Amino acid sequence: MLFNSLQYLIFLPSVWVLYWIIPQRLRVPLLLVASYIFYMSWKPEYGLLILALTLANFAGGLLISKATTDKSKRLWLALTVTGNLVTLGYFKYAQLFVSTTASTAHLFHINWHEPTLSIILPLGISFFVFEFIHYAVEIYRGKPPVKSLPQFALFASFFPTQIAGPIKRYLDFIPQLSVPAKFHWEYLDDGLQLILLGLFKKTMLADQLAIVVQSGFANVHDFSGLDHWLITYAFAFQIFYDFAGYTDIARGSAMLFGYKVPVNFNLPYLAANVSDFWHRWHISLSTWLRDYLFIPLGGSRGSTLCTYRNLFLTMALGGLWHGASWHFLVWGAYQGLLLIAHKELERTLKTFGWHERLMRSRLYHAFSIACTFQMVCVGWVLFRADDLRIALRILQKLFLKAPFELAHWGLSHLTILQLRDPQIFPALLILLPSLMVAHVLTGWLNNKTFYTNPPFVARLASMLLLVSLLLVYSTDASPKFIYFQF
Amino acid sequence: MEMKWYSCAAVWVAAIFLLVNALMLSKPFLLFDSSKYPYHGWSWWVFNDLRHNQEHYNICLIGSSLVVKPNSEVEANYLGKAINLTSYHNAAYLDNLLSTRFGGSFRTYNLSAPGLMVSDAYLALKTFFSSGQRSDIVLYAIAPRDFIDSSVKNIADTDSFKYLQRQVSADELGEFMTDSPIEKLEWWLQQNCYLYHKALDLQMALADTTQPWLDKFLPSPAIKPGLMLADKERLLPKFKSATTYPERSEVKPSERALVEKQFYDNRGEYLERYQWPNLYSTELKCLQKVIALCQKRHVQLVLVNMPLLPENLSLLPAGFYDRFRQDTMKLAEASSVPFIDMSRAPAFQHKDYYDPVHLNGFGGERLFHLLVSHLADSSASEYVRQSGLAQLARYHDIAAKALYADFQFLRERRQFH
Repeated sequence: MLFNSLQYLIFLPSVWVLYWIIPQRLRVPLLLVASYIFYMSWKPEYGLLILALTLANFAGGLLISKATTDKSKRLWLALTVTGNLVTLGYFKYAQLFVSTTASTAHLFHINWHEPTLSIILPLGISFFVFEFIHYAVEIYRGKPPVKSLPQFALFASFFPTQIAGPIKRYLDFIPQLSVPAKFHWEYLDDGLQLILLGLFKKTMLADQLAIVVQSGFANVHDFSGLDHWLITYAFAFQIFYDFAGYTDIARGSAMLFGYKVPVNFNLPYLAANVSDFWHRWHISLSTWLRDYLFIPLGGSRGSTLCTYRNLFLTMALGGLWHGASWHFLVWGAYQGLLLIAHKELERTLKTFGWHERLMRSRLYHAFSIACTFQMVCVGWVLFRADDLRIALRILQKLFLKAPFELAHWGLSHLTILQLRDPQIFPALLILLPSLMVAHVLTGWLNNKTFYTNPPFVARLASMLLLVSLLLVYSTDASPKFIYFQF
Repeated sequence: MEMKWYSCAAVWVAAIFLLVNALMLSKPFLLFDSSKYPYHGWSWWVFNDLRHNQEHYNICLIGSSLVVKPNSEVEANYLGKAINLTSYHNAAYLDNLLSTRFGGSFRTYNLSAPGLMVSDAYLALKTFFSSGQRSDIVLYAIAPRDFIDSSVKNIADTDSFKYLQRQVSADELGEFMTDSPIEKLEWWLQQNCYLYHKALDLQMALADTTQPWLDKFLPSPAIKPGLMLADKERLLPKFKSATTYPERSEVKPSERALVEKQFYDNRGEYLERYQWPNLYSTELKCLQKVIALCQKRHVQLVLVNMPLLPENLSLLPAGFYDRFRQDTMKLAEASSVPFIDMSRAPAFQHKDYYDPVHLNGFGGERLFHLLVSHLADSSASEYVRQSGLAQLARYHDIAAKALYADFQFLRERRQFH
């Protein structure tokens, strides 16, 4: 069931009411049952998959912690991690492997009959496999294992974060399950506010922008280069509000039960460089990649070349995690190259004495933010396009055709302005700058008490407005969240 | 300090919302034009034409594309000119046949729309009657596809239903919604949550408010060639896909020789549509409602079972067609509704069809001839005759009134001078 569906509107309050009226000892089992119902509402048989992985990883964690020698510890870790990766690899990448093999065979004129695989990607598998791997590695590193199977099972299957994260850390989440929960009205207030805000981001912003993006990426030739810049910016905000909206709903839902799950976004489009961007975007994933891929590869402990290699590999594999398609790998590699370029630029600038003064200047800061945003948006083209061919076509329009169009016609040839219905098309020229301004404004307001802790009337009014807008604009036929496909 | 329940904004939001919702449901102060709709589908055009029309129609013709297709071609041939289906909703050929057979005058309004299910037909008739029209006779042409369509999961899913439920209350059809608790909840929310119920009107109102500003500050560039309709459909294939465009709704007169050579094979489409007869019993209950509605309005209903080619009948689930015939005939018999079964008529040949399910214009002519002939032999014949005479008297009355008005005008002019 989607977060923005009527099913969830019935499911969440029902579980919430039950949670707070039943005895403490039944709360974890209740959440566990609810989480499995939530997962199996999509495809019942895949409930067995998550159960099997849970049992295997729970056993794996115990075996790692109980192993007496380093060698046996490493063996159990390797088995556990391999088991997780093989499962993920089978469900997510088998089709890619088969189709790539078939294409390669065809290239070399080898007659190879491509088998038909009918593998349906289990929802959320990328997320809970990463949580399992994190758990196994932390046990190996000496952290205590989870002794309670229900608690461990809930860690992986917790329904607010089950399908699209944030990727939790067991040492942050499990202790919360052991604390005797007492109801506080803040849970309802803060939780509901987050949920409403998340639904607003998804329904009113992401879904509207999706109309433009879908049309633009499906009909590359019908839009000019300038149109494609606008469509690219539209996607940048679509994916942000879609994912941030989902995360808000996830965090808000967890908060209703008194649980805290990690923040996943911190105004990513205010990043001053690509490294800063990855500290602000999908934070739970980027920290996971840092801790369980980059650092084990060697991190930045070795030579500069080794560091760059590790960065590149981490980002490339991180890109592939997003989807079983080569354009995701290219996107990840592009991010890796940007990070390398950033590190090189930092190194070069450090040789100049005036670099620190320059970097402290507001103008440079604004310029950095604009450049970073542009570079990230170019990456989004690789991410969103159905394949590399389409991505290259769009990039060609962005960089070769758009400057010419701007010089000769300005905005007068925008196809986006010719499409008057739905209004999102012409409104894009107002909406996109407004969203950027809102981003900047939010950054400024985040330090203000009246924003972080608004007065009662402001909270009441904002919630009433959000409820009203959502009732008017919500539909049960909403496109699913983008990150659900991972 | 721990928050108390009265400091929790969520509690007050729920309370205020429930209170305001109850108020707005009982005394709605925001008035919206129910005929306004984001896009113009078939049913919108049917009732838009009716709204701008003060004529009295003593015959109402209703059905799905099985009526629209043959009638439109019949009319174009009969009138000798192209007709536009978004603005033409009559059946002059049928009127002429009826006048010739029964005497008197007949004027038909055609409520038919492609894809019309029985539940849609019920709402269409309800809307027709509530518009002030009081036809004497309703000719309802039915076929299996009006009762089963796999692409329709719930009776409220059709474009016609969505538009018509804005014109008249569809509360009594609430019990016919699917067994899905979610769809029942959605239906309940639509009836009991003001903002949800009026969501479409509010969206349109907000769009109308912002449109002038968009047109002023971000006008469409005047470049040639601009975007054509086909371009817009390619760019936004699913957006307002049920829109019916006047430029695509023209039907021209046709030549028999050419028409008889054309035959379109749509068996693939109908095989899919006939796959799951899940709505059959629901639509049968809606047919009962149609019969009851006409009885309540003292309107003579006549059911016409449309002819289909064996190629189409063979696509139906085994035994379904016989069951459909039996059930509809029984319903008609129980309520003394004349049932004209064209499926047994040997008069229709392959060349009368555009495809296995739709008659072409020449098949339509044959259909109307047979229909009138059957009507004359049915229990409704006297009623039809009286209706024709009453309509004639109405015209004479109107003509007489018009003559009298002219006379008054001339008399006043003479007095003035």
